[in-house]
Amino acid sequence: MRNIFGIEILKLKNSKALWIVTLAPIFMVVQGALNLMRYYDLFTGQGQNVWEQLYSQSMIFYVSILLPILISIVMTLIARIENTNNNWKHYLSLPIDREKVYGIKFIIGCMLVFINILVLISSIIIAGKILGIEESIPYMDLLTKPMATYIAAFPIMAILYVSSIGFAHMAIPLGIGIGLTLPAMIVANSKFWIFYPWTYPIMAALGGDMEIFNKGNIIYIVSPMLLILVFSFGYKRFLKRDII
Amino acid sequence: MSELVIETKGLTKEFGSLTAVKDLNLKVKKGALYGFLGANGAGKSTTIRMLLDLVKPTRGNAYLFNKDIRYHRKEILRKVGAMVESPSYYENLTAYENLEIIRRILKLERKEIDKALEIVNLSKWKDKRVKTFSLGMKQRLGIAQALMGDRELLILDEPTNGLDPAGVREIRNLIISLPEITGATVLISSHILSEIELIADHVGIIHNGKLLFQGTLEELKEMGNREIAIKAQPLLEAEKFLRNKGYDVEMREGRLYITAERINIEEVNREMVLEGFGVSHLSENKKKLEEVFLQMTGGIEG
Ligand SMILES: Nc1ncnc2c1ncn2[C@@H]1O[C@H](COP(=O)(O)OP(=O)(O)OP(=O)(O)O)[C@@H](O)[C@H]1O
Ligand SMILES: [Mg+2]
Repeated sequence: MRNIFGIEILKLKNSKALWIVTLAPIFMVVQGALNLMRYYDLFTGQGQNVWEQLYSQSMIFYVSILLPILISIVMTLIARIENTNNNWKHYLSLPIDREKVYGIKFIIGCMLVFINILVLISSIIIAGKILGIEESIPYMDLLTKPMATYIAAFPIMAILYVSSIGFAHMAIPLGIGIGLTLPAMIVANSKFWIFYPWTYPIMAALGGDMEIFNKGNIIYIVSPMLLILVFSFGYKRFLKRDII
Repeated sequence: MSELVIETKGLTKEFGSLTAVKDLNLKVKKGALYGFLGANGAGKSTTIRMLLDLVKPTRGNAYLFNKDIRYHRKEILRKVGAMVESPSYYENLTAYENLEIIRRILKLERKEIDKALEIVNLSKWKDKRVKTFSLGMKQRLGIAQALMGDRELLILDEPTNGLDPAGVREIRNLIISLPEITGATVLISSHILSEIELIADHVGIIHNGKLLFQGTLEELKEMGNREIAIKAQPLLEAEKFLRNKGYDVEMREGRLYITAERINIEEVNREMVLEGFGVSHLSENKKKLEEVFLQMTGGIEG
């Protein structure tokens, strides 16, 4: 298990795209901070918490667009490592377990998404410090909400992983990932949001402050369940699949 | 009876209504350099994938080292080095790192990497990313991946495909030297007869998913019709005489040619001399392997 994990990490070496994607939140927070600076009075004039403003400035775009698209790219790139250059055939003709390969690659994909969220939080904190926000850092909010967002993104991660491994051509999972991201904000405002996992990160990240996204805790039950369901579906298919 | 490294029993693979491999009974002896010959689409790669448990057979079984691959997959694959169709490689990694992956899976010592690089003549390039490699270099890296850790069976699917003549020769010489260097049994597939003739000592011919021939290269050469050329006087009467004897005779450029699957050349001579013909020339023309092959596969070659 550890062995294959190490091997999978080695394969990511020199994969620039993957690291750019993982570090992308930095650019987005910089954008959010610049925005906040430019309209500082507008955003804080009524005595709002500046941290909260910085957070929501950064977060709205992140959870509705950037995060799901980044997940799509991360999962596609992870699958692409094997989908190109004839690699599945060779890798699976070695004495390793298909089960482990499938599981560990998913774990690594999820880890990269997690790093992505950690980068987001740190960027927000650093940006706040640079802006010289005087209030103390609301660690609780800044940590729990992104973690909740991560859990809420489970189904997206699983769906993208399973389709990336399932389709040899990367255009399909990328198309699915991006295509389903775009309407997320609209669906989030409708009563059908629960059927649309792309809305969950929006609820998790922005619920609480924004009344409309405050939909309770049901997503934290639905989300892990969908992850297990989708992953098992892909896993069973992968074990049976002819490697052509 | 020598030990079999590969044995398949009734191995069959259907893709929908297409039967890619049909009731295949392959037998590869230990130490053989087995050439698996067949035109494009004959079913070579599909067979090889079933041997490696990449593809599940519709029917039948594949035994490697006398064990069923379906139930002893990891144990068997540890001893098998494979290159299926085109070479596989992680292009962001160097040649060395690509082999490091194999090393970790097989739990080998570091020096095995250098040994394999040495054999395929890539030591100089080991720290270059594979992205920058030529096809020939990638192919050699593929063979190095298959070699590492003294594996007992090497399965190479069209390892010279797409190479220029110099590259083909280099890989071919490398493969011929493998059994000596590594002591491994080698199965190499190809759609080029002349290549198999140069490399292999055993041959299996697959056509439309069916195994048409299996045996040594010598046995293959003995197959098919033989042809005897005769110069005799008087010629026309000699032709008539042989025809009456039931031979299939043809006259070309002042000679008679007999073709048949089995001819006893001495007997033909004796019969003619006894009849009073003056026989001044009698020789057997070996049919070219290519003709044997074409005859066997019904004139279709890839
Ligand atoms: N996944 C698949 N689905 C449907 N048909 C397939 C599949 N894989 C192979 N075939 C068909 O099975 C037959 C045998 O293919 P295979 O690749 O085994 O031939 P081959 O002998 O390796 O040929 P080549 O010299 O072109 O590599 C072909 O007709 C091919 O089209
Ligand atoms: Mg093939």
